[in-house]
Parts: sequence; C-alpha cells; structure tokens
Amino acid sequence: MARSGLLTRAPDAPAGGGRVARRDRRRARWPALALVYAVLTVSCLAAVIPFMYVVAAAFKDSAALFSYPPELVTWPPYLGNFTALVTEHPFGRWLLNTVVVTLTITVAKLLIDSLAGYAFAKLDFPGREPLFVALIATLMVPFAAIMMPLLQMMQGAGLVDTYWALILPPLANPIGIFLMRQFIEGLPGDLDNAARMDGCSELAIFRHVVLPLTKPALTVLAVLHLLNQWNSFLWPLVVTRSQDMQVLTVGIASLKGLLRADWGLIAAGALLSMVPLVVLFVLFQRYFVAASLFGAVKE
Amino acid sequence: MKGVTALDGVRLEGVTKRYGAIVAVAGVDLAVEGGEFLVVLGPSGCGKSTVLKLIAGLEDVTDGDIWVGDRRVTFAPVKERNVAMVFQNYALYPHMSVRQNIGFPLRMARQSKAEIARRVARAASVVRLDGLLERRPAELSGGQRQRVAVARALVREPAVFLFDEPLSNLDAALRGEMRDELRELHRRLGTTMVYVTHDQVEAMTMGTRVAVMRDGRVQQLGTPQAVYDRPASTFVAGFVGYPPMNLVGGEAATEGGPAVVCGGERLGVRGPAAAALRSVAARGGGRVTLGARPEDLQLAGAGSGAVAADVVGTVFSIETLGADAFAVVDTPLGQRLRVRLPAPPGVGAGERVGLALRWDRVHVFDADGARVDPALEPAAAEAAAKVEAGGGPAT
Repeated sequence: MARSGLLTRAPDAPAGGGRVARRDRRRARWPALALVYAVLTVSCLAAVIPFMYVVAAAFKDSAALFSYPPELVTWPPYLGNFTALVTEHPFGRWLLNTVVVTLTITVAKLLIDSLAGYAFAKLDFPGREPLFVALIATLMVPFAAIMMPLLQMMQGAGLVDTYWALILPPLANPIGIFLMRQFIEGLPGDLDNAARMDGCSELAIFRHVVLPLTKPALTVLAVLHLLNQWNSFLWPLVVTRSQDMQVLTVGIASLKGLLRADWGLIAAGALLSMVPLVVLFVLFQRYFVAASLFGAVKE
Repeated sequence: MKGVTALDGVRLEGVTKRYGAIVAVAGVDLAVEGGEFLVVLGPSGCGKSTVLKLIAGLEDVTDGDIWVGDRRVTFAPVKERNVAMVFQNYALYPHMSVRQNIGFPLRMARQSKAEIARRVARAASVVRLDGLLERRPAELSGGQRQRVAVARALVREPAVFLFDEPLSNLDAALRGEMRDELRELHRRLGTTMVYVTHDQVEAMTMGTRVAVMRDGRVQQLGTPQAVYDRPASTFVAGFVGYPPMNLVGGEAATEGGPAVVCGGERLGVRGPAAAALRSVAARGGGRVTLGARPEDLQLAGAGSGAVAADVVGTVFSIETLGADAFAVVDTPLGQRLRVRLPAPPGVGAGERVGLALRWDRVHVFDADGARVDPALEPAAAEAAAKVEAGGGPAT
C-alpha cells in the first residue's frame, strides 16, 4: 500500500533529486514533523505513566508510597502487598470466579452470536427484520435503567450470589449478534448455495462453511467479550453478596475500606488482575492484530 | 437414485417465479433432452439465472413443475435432485484445499475415505488438476479455480450439470480455452448440461441448442445457427450476433410495389421480404422492421459483380478487426447501418457509398417485433410470386 503524508517523500519529487533540494524539503517539513512526534510522545506517556505508576506502587509499602520526596522505584522491591493479597484476602477465589465467568460468557456468546448472526444474515424467516431491529434497539437502553429490574428478576429466581446471576444477563447483549450478522452478510451468497448443492443442511453449512470463514470476526468478538467481562464491575457488584462469589474487579474495590485505603495492596491486586490478559494478548497478539485488520484492505 | 439415469433430461412446465410484484420467470416451458448441451442466453435481469436456481432447487417455484428425468422435483430438496451446479464466481470454499473442495460433496454424503480419495483423484484428472490438490483456492489462477468448481460438480456424478455464467470472470483468452474444455467435457461425459450466459459467443459455440430469454420468457429456442439465421424477434435479432443485426423501422407500403417508408425515404423491398411485407399489409399494415446482418449488406457498384444500390449513405467510421472490417454508414433511413467488408475496406470515413442488401437474407418483423416468416404465410408467398422480381429501385 502506498504510504502518504508527512513521513513520505512528496509525490512530485524528482526521482534522483539533488541533495540540496532534499535537504531543503526536509528543513521545510521539520516543524510539522516535530509537532507529530510531540503529540505522539505525549499520548504515549499519557497511556504508559498510569500503568507504570500502578506497577511501582504495587512494589512499595505504605511508608514508601507516601514518602517525601517521592521515590520512583524502591529497592529492594516490597512484596508484602502480594503476600497480603493472597493470604489475607480470597484473591485466588476472585480470580477463579473471574476466569469461570469470563470464559463461560465468552464461549457462550461466540456460539449465540455466530448462530444468531447466521440466522439473521442468511435465513429467510417471517419477522426477521422487525425482530432484528427490536434486538438492536435494546442496545440503546442504558444498563442503569434495567439494572434494578434485572436484580429483582434474579432475586425472584433465587439466583442472587450465584454464577448464574453473573453469567446469564450478559448473554443477552446483542452487539455480537449485530457484528456477526454484518460479517456473515458480507460472505458471498453463492458459498452457501454451493454448500446446499453439495448436500449440506443449514446446520452443516454453518458448521463447515460459515464458521471457519468467520474466524477473524470471532477473534475480534472474543477479545471484545473477554475484555468486557474481565473488567465488568457494576453488575457483579450488585448481584454478588459473599466474598466467595466476588470477581476480581469487585474484590479489589472492596480492598478500599471506608476510612482508609491500602493503595499498595490495591495496586498489587490491579497488577495481578492484569497479568492473565497481558499473557493472553502476548500469546495471541498475532491473531488479534490480524483479526482487527481483517477487511481493512482489499485482498 | 431411483428414476434418474445418466442421460436424464430436464423439463420445465409453465414455470413461474415471482418475488413480490416482480415476475422473474413467466411461465417458461422448456424441455432439455437427455445428453443435450442447452445454453440459456439473455441480458442481465432476464431471469436466466433464476431458471437455473429453480432447476437446482435453490429457489422455490411460484407456479409450474420441474422434472428431472421421469421424476417431478418441483418441491424436492436440493440434494435429492441429482443436479450439480458451477457458479459464476466459482464459490470455492476458501478455507479448504483443492482436494477438500472437490471431496466436500462426498464427505457430506458420508462416503468412505477410500471412495472419496478415488473419486477426487478421478475428477481431478478429468479437469487436469492432479498436481494442485493440496493448494488453497487463493493460490490458483482463475482458470484453475474454474476447473476446481467443475471437478466439485463432476465428483458427484450428477444427472444434470448446471453452469451459471462460469466463464464470465475469466479473461478473453482463458475464456476461449475453457469453452473448448467444457465442450470436450460434454462430449466425453454425454451428460445433460444447462449453461446460462449473456455471452452470445459462448451460446453460439457451445450449445446444442440455445434458448434466448428476455423479461422472464423464452423468446426463441433452437440450434445456434437457426437462431442466428432466423431470429424470432427484433430482440433476438439484435442480441444474437456481433455486430448486431441492422434494424430499420418504418411503415409498410404496398402501393407502387412493396416498400418500407422510413425517415421519409422509401426503401423498395424485394425477394422473400416482399412476401412478408405483403402479409403484414394484408393484416392491416402498419409499422414493420427490416433486419439485415452486416454481412448481408454490400457496397453497390464496386468490383466486377457490381450490384445496384438500395440506399446511398456516407461512411461515418471504419472499424477494422484484422481479417475484416465494418463500415458504419449514415443513411437517409434515419439509421446507421453496419456493413461487413473484407480488410482493407477500400473506403474511408466521409465517402459516399451505395449499399445493396441481399434480399434473400433480409428479415421482416411486425409491429410487435415478431418475425414475419413468408414460408409460413402461403397466401403472402403466392402473392409475392406474382410481384415483379425486381421490386423498387434504390431511393
């Protein structure tokens, strides 16, 4: 792909232009380049500094955290926050709950989204369009508006403080169905006709043709659901009562007491809660990037 | 499959397909003989691909019946019709290798691995894909992809092959090559094939018969030569053949000899066309269209076999195609006429030329655009015989 913009040579530049001309051009572009690098540097620092601050705080005791002048890094690093997190608080249980809830929702959502997306994209059934519009309309209802009725439903069903209460409501989020429908609609119509000619049932078309071809969209969706659920706070806060059913976000928030907060402990919890996602991202980075670029360029 | 043999034909009886208020196929009757290569030819939106999908079962008919062999398959599921289809864009599964693509229908039919391997190898060798079986479709050229699509259809050993504009995505050279290969395939297999195209060259060169469609109806069904020589309507006349037939519309006149008055000019009509014109006049006259292919016009007064001009015009442009050339001539008939000439044409733009028609090859169409065939109008033919052989001179 042809690059354009400030960092590339002007299109009207002579192929073997003289050194002087090149130097003049570079000099003329210098203020613009400086501005670009300045903006990029500030953006980069804005993203990295809070993260680095959390990392630094996790390895400091309370005294070091509030010492003056402030220390950037303490040496040797203080590991007491991590020990306290694991020994004095049910951090392991929170992590387990988060993993169970997040993975269950992600897998179930991918299944529901892809099946429903296929049905809305390719199957012709009465009321398809009104049903889809109604489904998408639910996206416009803010969660705060349905939180209390939802909680009452969970209480009525006796599901409060259970995995069911954490897992079932997020499954109704239609954003994935919308994305999958759009993606599947983009697949050539003749592919499913060809599969029908080859003797496939609708389910076989989905299983053997559509599903393998939607891998890029499924990967994007998996990341989306994974991040959403891992960071989900409000609903788990409302619907769980015991420490045993709390997830990481709620558990870490509970470390902040009414009168005092152990910021080192909270930072350690935040850092540990990031680790699985970072590991996941590093392992599957190639797929995530490829998936997020899917469709961006003509193949 | 019961009732279906390798040489089963296809029969459509009054088949209609509506999409809401739109009629895509309007009461089509079509009988494809067993082992025949029928080409369905027509412009975009004429309903030809819909006919194919109706035969395949990918669309439900609104009315009428479809038969494959002696089985009525109007409402049969796709996989029970014993037909295979090759799609315009190949419709290969991009995530599968060539081997998996070809073997997919057999896998869905739960054939044994050994049987799948055997039949895939055979189908691949028929379309010369032996060395490419482990490649993905993205690693193949257009022609190779088309071969994979054909092999995937072949491997099922269906009673009927359906082709939906399979060569339209290929470049001209490859298209010619694939035309030869498909013809050869039909010769070897002898299976019934229904081939949809908008390309009249494919229709003329490949089909045993051609069905020309327009607006959801079959306008004409016949051998390619018959369709070319005796077009049933002005639409067929204009659609089949390149450059298209010259069509000149005007009013039929019989006083002072049969003639057509167009653009204020009187063009005397002779030969069988005169008989046809008389039959139109006998029916009350009115508007007619004369049709003449570019090769059925010649320059008048040129060469040893000089002929009298039927019409005089000015050469607008010359299109040279190598072996021959076409002169586009502005005439007082209100139409530009194309004349086929040997190359080099010997005339240039701006020159005045006389054009003579080969009257035994001139077609007459009535006000509805339907062919008026003097052979089918005995009274008119008789009347024509009495008319002077020469007819009116050039105007």
